[in-house]
Amino acid sequence: MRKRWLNRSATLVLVVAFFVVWQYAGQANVANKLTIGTPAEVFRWIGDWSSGTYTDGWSDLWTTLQEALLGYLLGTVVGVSLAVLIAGVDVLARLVMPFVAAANAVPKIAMAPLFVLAFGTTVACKAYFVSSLVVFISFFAVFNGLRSINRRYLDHVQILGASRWWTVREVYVPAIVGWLITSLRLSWSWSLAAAVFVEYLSSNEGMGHIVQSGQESLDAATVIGALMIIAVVAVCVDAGLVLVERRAKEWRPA
Amino acid sequence: MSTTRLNRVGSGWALLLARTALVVVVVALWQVAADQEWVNANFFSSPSDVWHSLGSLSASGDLWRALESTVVVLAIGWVLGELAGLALGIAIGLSKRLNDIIGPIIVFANAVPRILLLPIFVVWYGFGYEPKVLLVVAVMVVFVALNVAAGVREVDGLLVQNMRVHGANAFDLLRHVFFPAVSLWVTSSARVTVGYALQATIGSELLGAESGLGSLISHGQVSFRSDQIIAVLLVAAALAVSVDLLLATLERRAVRWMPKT
Repeated sequence: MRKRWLNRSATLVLVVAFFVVWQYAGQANVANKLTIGTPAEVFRWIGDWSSGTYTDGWSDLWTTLQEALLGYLLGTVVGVSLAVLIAGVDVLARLVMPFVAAANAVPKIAMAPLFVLAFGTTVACKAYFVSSLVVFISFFAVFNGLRSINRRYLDHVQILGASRWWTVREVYVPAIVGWLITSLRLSWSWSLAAAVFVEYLSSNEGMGHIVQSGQESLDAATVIGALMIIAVVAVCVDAGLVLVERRAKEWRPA
Repeated sequence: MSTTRLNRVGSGWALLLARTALVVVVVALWQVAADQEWVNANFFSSPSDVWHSLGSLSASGDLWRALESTVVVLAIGWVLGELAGLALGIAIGLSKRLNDIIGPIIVFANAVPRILLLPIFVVWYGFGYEPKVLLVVAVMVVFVALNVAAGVREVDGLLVQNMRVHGANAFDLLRHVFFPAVSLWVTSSARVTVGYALQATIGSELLGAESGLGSLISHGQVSFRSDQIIAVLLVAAALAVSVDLLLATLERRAVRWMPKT
């Protein structure tokens, strides 16, 4: 117990030391102050941001979250539908799976400019882009899941007189929800990153836009501050999803 | 009974033919849809435009220079990312205390979307190779480290104790136990890590770099040329698929000696 406490404080010391060195390096201009800022500046900026001194910061964060959420929902709906269709029709799976695999290999981040070109700087544009990443994650999660459902179990259920509807409701739907929960963390880390990325590329609102404008005016405190906020949000979302995942898996035998 | 019929349909030449037909139909539909303006031309362009764009990019040599730059960044970034991740992963895998101390920091870093660090790196280093390589390393290092650490911890403790008893020192252990264990993981995860590295490379080139496939895409965006964007995306996809196939082959070779489980 005491050792654990010691290690935790060592972690804390390490983090504090990092900030002290950073402050010193920025102040003494060891590295160019323009490029690394100082923690004091960054925290002041974050304070301004949250109190609304800087143009209403919370609405930028809300925009980003909205884009990520809409994109996640759209991508999941499309991904699951395609997975059910393709996994259900064997011929279709044999026909198109190599193409799906190839499409999945495309560095999807690189498609961002195409979405910007087609849909402008709208929230919908970002949501579409986010969904183009999520769709593959949910597709593969559900497709592989559907394929791994035990045939013998399905045969049993059928012999015992289950209707098609009953099978869908009691076997397939819970299974699909289970795989979606398993892929939640991955989907969300990509959703947030993709939303901010495409905002940074071209936008007039959202956290990515703040980063971009900070970079344009060579304001390191803004760039680093905005990224820190995104990082904290991402970590909080991830922690929340870990809870959801644990909750959902509670009833399952280990 | 239906599966046997499917197996016959879904095998060899018939399947290949069906897939080719599918591609032809899709491309033809795409062309017709573009000509008749059924679809958003800013997004879909058209196959003929994409083909022309591909031709002119390749003829001017821009495409090949970009491809070369991307491959160089990818290769250097991947190697450095693996090395950094291995060093960190072995360190926290072997030392419980170190893991307790910096573990929380690594878990935190793992939850941060690291591709977003690029603006900071660009502010530090400008638009040369450095920020791109650094981004690839940043994207990879946590993933590699966490997995290597898990692999190191899974090494059979009895084996280590046996070697210790027989007089092996720390170096012997690294050389004969941990290195082989870890190299197996590096091989089997190469396809995933190279995929990450390629995303990071092209992502970094998109954001104002002067070379690479990503910068060609970004030029396409600025000049409203969706045909150029799609052409370069196809090249990027071809690069990704061929690297993946190459690694899959290498992986099969590398694990051939292993007993099948």
